[in-house]
Amino acid sequence: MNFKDVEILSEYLDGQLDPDILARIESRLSKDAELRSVLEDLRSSRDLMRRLPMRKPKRDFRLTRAMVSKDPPLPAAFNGFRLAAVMASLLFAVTVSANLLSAPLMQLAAAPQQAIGMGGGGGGPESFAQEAPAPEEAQPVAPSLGLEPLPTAELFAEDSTRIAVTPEYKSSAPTGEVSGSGQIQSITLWLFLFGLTAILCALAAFYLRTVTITRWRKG
Amino acid sequence: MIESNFMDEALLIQSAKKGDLESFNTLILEQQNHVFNTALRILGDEHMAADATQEAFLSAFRSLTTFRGGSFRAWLLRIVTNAAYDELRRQKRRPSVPLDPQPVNGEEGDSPRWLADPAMSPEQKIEAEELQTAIQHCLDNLPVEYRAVVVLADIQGLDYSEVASVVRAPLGTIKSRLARARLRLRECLRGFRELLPSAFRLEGEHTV
Repeated sequence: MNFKDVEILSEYLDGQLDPDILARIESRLSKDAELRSVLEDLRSSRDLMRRLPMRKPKRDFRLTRAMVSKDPPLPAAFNGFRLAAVMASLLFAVTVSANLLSAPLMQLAAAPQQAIGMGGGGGGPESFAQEAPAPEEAQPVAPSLGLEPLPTAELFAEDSTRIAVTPEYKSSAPTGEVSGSGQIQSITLWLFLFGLTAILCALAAFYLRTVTITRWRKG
Repeated sequence: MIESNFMDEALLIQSAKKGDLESFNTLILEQQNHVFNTALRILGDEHMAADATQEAFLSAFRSLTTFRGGSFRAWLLRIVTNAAYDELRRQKRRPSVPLDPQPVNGEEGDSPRWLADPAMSPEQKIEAEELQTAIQHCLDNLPVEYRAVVVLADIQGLDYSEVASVVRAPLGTIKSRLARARLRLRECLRGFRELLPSAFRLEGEHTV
């Protein structure tokens, strides 16, 4: 006999066996005196436990308002709103952080691309410095045509200390601005949605809590 | 009748969920004996059991909205079993010796069924009380996870699946723990053979 037999006997005692196992154990019980003896042991142990009296507690466990007044039961919707407010706040924070981090990274990523576009890969900050005066050379062209320099040209001229500007860059710049502003609009929309959801859910949770506590205190 | 009680219980729970303390107190009155006795048999100490019971009811009231139906008693027993585990852990961290130790079974309370016979002599009553003490002693000697299972299944009469949900263990584990607990209890009670009612005095010894 092994422990598995004891487990089966214990289940047999509680009427928990499947019919096929039940038939097998009953057949074994009819032949095996030791098995019967273990079964009787388990039965007497269980019956003694069942005969233990229920003791009457000396104390009354009913709750008073004073015991529970600090924490009245809040409706399930409160937890839902609270969770939604927390999630929306987290999403808001993540979006803001990601946006703040991505702006300088995009600038950094853009700089080498300009350099590559200018002069076959150049080779680092020194080549930037050397190539920077290029737009200044173009400046005298404007007066000769009798035209005022465009504000954008000044802007590019200022930028030229950092980035070498090529005609290709100039022509592609407006397209980049359009897609960039679209992205900004999309981010702003998400920020607005997350912020609004967080505020509304927090207000709903606060309202539910206040109403529940007020009703609770009134009794 | 049972169905009407069940309906009453469901209505009381519904009402208590909305914050009606009186409804919850009615539920407490119905369940407190089961809850207290579960704690008592797991902890083996009346004062600790009373504290665990009170804590369990308070906790049950506060988290009543998480009760999703099923057996309300089993749900309460889960809470009190956890409260009893917490109490045991606290005891383990800060063991203390009571100044005036009281035997668990030497106090007032309902008499055991074998004490209910009014013809029982004072000596027989004392023996029955000693038997209760012996049973509690054997329960206390079980590992706590075996003790909880045997208390819930054999004393509180929960079925296997209810015990599994109370102690949050698989059904196979429950069956195994219950069989081991019953065997160990039997071995332990053999030492108190002279206290056992004649129907429980078995001679055989087994090695499994």
